[in-house]
This record gives sequence, C-alpha cells and structure tokens, in this order.
Amino acid sequence: MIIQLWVSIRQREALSVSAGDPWNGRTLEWSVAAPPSEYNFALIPQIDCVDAFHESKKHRDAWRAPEHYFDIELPSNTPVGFVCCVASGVFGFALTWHIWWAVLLGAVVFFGAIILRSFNRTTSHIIPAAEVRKTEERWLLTLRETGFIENEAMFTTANNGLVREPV
Amino acid sequence: MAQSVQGKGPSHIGIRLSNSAPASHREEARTQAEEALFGFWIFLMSDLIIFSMLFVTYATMGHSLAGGPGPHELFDLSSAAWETVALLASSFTCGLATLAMRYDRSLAKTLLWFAITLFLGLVFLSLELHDFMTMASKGGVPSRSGWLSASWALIATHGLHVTSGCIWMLIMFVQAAKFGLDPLVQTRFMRLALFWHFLDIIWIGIFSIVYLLGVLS
Repeated sequence: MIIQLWVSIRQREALSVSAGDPWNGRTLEWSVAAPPSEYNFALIPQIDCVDAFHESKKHRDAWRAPEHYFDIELPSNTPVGFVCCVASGVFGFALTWHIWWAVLLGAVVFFGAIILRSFNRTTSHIIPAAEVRKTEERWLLTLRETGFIENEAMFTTANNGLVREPV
Repeated sequence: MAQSVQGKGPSHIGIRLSNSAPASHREEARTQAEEALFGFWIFLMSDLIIFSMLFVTYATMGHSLAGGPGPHELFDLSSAAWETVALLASSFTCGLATLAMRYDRSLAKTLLWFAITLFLGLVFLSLELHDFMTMASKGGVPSRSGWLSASWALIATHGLHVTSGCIWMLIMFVQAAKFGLDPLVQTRFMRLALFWHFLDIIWIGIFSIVYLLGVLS
C-alpha cells in the first residue's frame, strides 16, 4: 500500500485520468470526472437497463450536458463520527480492563460530542446551480479535449480516462 | 386557543410554525418533521425489542431463585405504586407540555410543564434508587440468582432510559432558551415526549408483571 501511495503521489500528473473512464467502464461511477466532484452527479441519473453507462456509450449519447442545473444540498463535513468512534472504542476497552478513569473519559467525550452536535444548526450546505454548472462545464471541456486511446494503451500513461469504444 | 387551531400550518404531527412563514418553508419543515418523527418511531420499536427480550428473559427466570430471596422479601409494593403514580403523572404533564407547545405556542408554559415532568421523573428515579438499595441490603444483588439478574437487568434498563430522558430534557431546556420554539426544537420536544410516553408503557409492563405478579401470586 505504501508503494502504491508513493507512486500515485509522485507521478500524480502522468497517471491522472481526468476524463474519468480509464477502463472503458460499464457502470455509472465511470461516467463522472476523476476525481469526482463533491456532489458526484450533477443530476441524479435515470436508468432503464443494467450497465446504463455502457449502453449510452454504445448509442453515442454518453457524457451529455444536462439541460438545467439545480442547487445541490449536501451534508457538511463533521468530526463527530470519528470522535464518537474513538471515544466508544476507549470506553469499551476500558470497561473490559477495568480502567475506570478511561471509562468515564470515553463516556463523557462520546455523549458530549453528540450533545454539542445537537446545538449545530447548519449540518448541510447548498452548492448553487451556477457553481455546479461551472464545475460540470469545465469537466465536459476536458472530456472533449481528451483523445481516445486504443485498448492496448490502457495500462500506459497515455490513458487520460477515455478509451476507444468497442462497438 | 381556538384562534391558533384555525391557523393553517403543519399541525397534524404537533409541529406548528408561525403563520407568517412562507408556505414553502412550512412545507419543508413539515417534511423534515415527518422524517425525524418516523425515524424516531423506528428507534422506539428497536428499543421495544430490547425490552421484549428482557421481559422474556424475566419470564423464563421466574422460578430460578437458587435459594436466594424472592419477590415477597424484596419488593415493596407501596413504593412501586408511588413510582407508578409519579411516572403516570409525568406522562400527563408531558402531554400538557406538548399541548402548550402546539396550541398556546408559549415557551414559558411549555417549559413549565416540561420542568414538572422532569421533577416527577426525578421523584421516580429517587424512589427506584431507594428500592434498589433496599433490595441490595436484603441480599438481593444481581449476582445472587437468575431471577435477580433478570429483574435487575429489566428494571435498571428502564431506569437508565428514564435517566437519559431526564438528561435529554435538561439539554432541551438549554436549546429552547437559546433557539426558542423553532421547528427543530419543537420536533425534538415531540420526540422526547414520544420517548417519555413509551417509557411509561414499559413501566406499566414492569409494574404488572414484575411487581404485582411477583408479590400477589
């Protein structure tokens, strides 16, 4: 894993596949940019068959820009889940080994985090339609500028995330 | 009172926004409140499963005294009756609190009824704590027999729930003071009320099956 991280970070530019579909994928996760935007899909995809992305590539109507963009509401980032995970871990460990001060600490941090969280009134945020449009259009432009590669070149740095379709 | 009932608002689940709020806001608040309350019902039903298992365990342990003290020696029916009175009365005042929130929209009245509910909850808890100490002093500790393990588990789980309900109420006092009776505070009070009534129902089961059947049979 360390080697993988090392290579991925060192050769980030050369290995990037910003068009998003480096393996000629069949399913929807390959139909968005890589790395994907925070909201994943500008519009929730409507599908009527298995491997909808593959079908749409076959019919040459993949990567179509949506007609309208909408505001997208997303849950905001929060450390509460992580804090609760660690605190409840400490709590359970301390109960098992009779370390009473750590039992108290784990319980106070766990419940305290949840109680503090209940005072937070803004747990989600809105990405305005204009920003979604900007992000999507930038990606669609990248997509248009990316050249297709042949299947044989899939495992080379020439792969920018767009593979010639097998029709 | 009659005047506020006529107001158009998301009222059927007990949440009421001011009528000056735009219709879209009221609609959104109604959807959010319904989702939150539905989720809480699912939680209550999963909690009910826990209590069902504890009741079943208690039933199977009915005769497993292992020579230790039984319900006749350990239970004080009059104390349990007072606990029942306190908890039933607190459920009533809790209902009055939600009515005050829904129809009078008065923060002071709502908080007053919830404060009385909290007080009755604390009365219940101190009586129960006293019961537990009496039981322990007579040798009725959880490790003594299967029947005692099962009764402690069942009664104390309910007691822990009431304790969390009391802490929850204290937190809600702070939130109501800070945010007023806005939709989120209202749905939280509604969920707290559901929780409180649910605990009352569980207690009726405990009082009938553990205390009454134990002492009278």
